[in-house]
Amino acid sequence: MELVAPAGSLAALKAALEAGADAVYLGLKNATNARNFAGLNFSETDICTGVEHAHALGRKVLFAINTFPQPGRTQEWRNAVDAAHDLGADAVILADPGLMVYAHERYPRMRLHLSVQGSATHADAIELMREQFNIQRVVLPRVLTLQEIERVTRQTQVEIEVFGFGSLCVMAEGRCLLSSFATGDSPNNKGVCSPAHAVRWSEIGGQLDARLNGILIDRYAPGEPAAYPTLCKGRFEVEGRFDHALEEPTSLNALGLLPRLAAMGVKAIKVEGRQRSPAYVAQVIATLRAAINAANLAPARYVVRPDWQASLSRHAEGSQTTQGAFDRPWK
Amino acid sequence: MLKLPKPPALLASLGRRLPPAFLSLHFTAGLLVARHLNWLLPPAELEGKRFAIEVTDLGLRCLFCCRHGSFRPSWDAQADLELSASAADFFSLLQGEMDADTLFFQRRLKISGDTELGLMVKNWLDATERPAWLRHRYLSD
Repeated sequence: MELVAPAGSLAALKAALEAGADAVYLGLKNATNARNFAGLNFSETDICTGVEHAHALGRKVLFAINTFPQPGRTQEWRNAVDAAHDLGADAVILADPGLMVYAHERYPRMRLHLSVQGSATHADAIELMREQFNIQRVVLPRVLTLQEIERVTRQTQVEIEVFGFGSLCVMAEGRCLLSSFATGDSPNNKGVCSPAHAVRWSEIGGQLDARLNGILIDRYAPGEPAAYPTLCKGRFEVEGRFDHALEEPTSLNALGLLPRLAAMGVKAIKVEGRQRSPAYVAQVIATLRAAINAANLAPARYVVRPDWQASLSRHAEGSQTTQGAFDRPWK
Repeated sequence: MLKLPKPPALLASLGRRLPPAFLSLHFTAGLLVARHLNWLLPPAELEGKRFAIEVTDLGLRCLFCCRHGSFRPSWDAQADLELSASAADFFSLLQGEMDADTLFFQRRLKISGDTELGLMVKNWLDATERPAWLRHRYLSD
């Protein structure tokens, strides 16, 4: 299995390759990618350097253009596809079928990956994208159980990539408008949920309040692990009960499932976190590299080492890790 | 791995007694040295902004601002962005050994004020390669 690392900067890209990533995914400094944060992401010059660096090591660069073009601004997204081609990226990760048409017709030899934001949850959707645009790989949404991943893998010839570690998203991948209720911005139109300009943190007497455009979305007790300030992970009063109404802030951790995923034919494991530092990338990628090597070498004897678990848990959002929907017992 | 020991209580109480202006001058001098070594070149978005750094276990609070691409001590008690953490955690962030979000999730790094400016500073530091004398090998944990 290939290990796919996030990079929000050239320093993170280098850290990922040094730690043993097979491929790095990155995006431009604009709304064409779903991590459009202040000061994050790559200039075209940085991408050029990154691609050279990766290719010198025999690794790949995947170019994420995974938001949906806004009406009247399609050209910005097309320009990003042109840039990916001109800068020598090994593949583009797209979500929007309209953009797929452009990429496929203009650059028929360019490798296309269907983003997790494209939300293809079953083999028919994936096969349709292959027939129409010759997609080579699909990143599966994090709503699928292991059984469902196995079934999809059997039913398509498109390569399957699944998330192995990182913050979870509230299972409406690519079409989430939740944050726009509070801020007017959403992942689809601005490439961010909970844009930083709308976020305010205040701590008084150890109690930490998270506000999104003035709306209190969570209150952490002294010492309680915090999370990203997204509406989906906030705590609200619903029918007299005060709790996480939609999703708990947790990080996905598939360390324990690597041999099973490999046996199913999963082609790549992806790590979330282009917004995180090179230190995170280096530590998480080194851990997963060691685990994947162990799983490849002797799958039957594979055990999760406590130091791997500790290394990943340290970086978890909300300081808890879960196998996510992979083992959702009610499904 | 290079780690800062927990400061003795005496040092912490000393920190609280030093005049803030004295601390800010020294802190800013450090930033300027880094800038002259072509290491910390602030991006345009930091221009005109006022920052406060609070080192909790030393009892220090330094105020500085960014003007004409340079760091200067600030005499204004108000800041646009305030960051607060222990000396050891600030040091590991500076070394590039620790992830800011990880520290934040664990409630070891506090941020108040302009969150977008905070993100800008974080991403600027993350994208800045550390000079050899400061660099920590990520994987030697």
